[in-house]
Amino acid sequence: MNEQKVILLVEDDQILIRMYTRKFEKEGFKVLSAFDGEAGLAELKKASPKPNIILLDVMLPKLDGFQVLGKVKADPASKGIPVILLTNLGGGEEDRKRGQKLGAMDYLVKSDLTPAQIVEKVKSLIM
Amino acid sequence: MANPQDIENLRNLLEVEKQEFLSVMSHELRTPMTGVKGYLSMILEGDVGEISDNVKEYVAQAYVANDRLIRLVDHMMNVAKVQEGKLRLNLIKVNITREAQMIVSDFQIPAKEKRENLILKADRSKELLVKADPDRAREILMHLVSNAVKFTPEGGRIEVSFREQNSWVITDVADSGIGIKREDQLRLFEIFSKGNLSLTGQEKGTGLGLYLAKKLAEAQGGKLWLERSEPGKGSTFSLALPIWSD
Repeated sequence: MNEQKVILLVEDDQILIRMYTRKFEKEGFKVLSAFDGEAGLAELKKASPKPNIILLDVMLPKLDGFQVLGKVKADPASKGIPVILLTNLGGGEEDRKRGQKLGAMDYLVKSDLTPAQIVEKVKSLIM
Repeated sequence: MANPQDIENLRNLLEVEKQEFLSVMSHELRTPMTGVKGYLSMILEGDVGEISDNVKEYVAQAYVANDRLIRLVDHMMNVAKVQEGKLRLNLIKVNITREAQMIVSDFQIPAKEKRENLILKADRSKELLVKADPDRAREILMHLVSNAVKFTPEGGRIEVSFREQNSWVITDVADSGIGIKREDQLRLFEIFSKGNLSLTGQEKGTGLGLYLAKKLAEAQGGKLWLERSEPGKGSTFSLALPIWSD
């Protein structure tokens, strides 16, 4: 039997978090979510089992995506979990490299992709 | 009399504030547009059940219009950077056929809406590698394909193909669209060119896209030009980027 994959989605925009949650659940994923960086780390810590992948917005309240990414990769309990950074910032290649250096698997511009395309990217990494 | 150094400092401060304002506004505008894009795509994908052809058409038109808004926000940011000489490039090895394939795939929804045949002609067994900034190369191709879809009437054909010439890989985007009048061709790549602004209705452009695309091509050591165009018969735009050499 195929095990249900779990995503942790950390995104501060209510509309986008609901949209991505709907799409991923429709595709059979279980979605954990948080609206800011600190809540994201708290959700990760209490999650059991741990998520198979983390989708992490860059512009977040409290802790930004890069800070959260750093903490995720510094913790032995979570450093193996793949992380995709999501953004609508115009930082481009510089931010992509910064994310890569911190251990992100990919860096996606949200407004360039439909939810279905993001689901495909996630599936290509964890399935 | 104001001290020239004070004037320069003030100018720099205003420039920094302008860039920060544009950056914040770009992010704030893109976020709700992402929601619109996402939900409309989910409706078209059947996530809320079957929809009639009429509803599908309305939704697809809204999707296309929203995508244009997103591109406009991108253009505004990039024009500002280009004009200030602040464009930062990351020139690396880029598989241009793969980039074009993704763009062609992205534009299938708007192309299907107009019953257009949007195809990529490439030898899949051969990688065409160029020296380019992947984001900027993608942006240029996106603009050329977007224009081709916009300016080609229903049932038309758009073809993206490649050729090698000396030390260049040339990407041709050819459409069977409305074509460009000779007098408009001369000023096509100028910012806010009359050729762009004088178009009517659906075909009207902002006057930013081709200006920006040309600047981005040149910034990467490449070229962008109108290869051919004839009113009523279509146009071919060509992008040349240097072949990658180790």
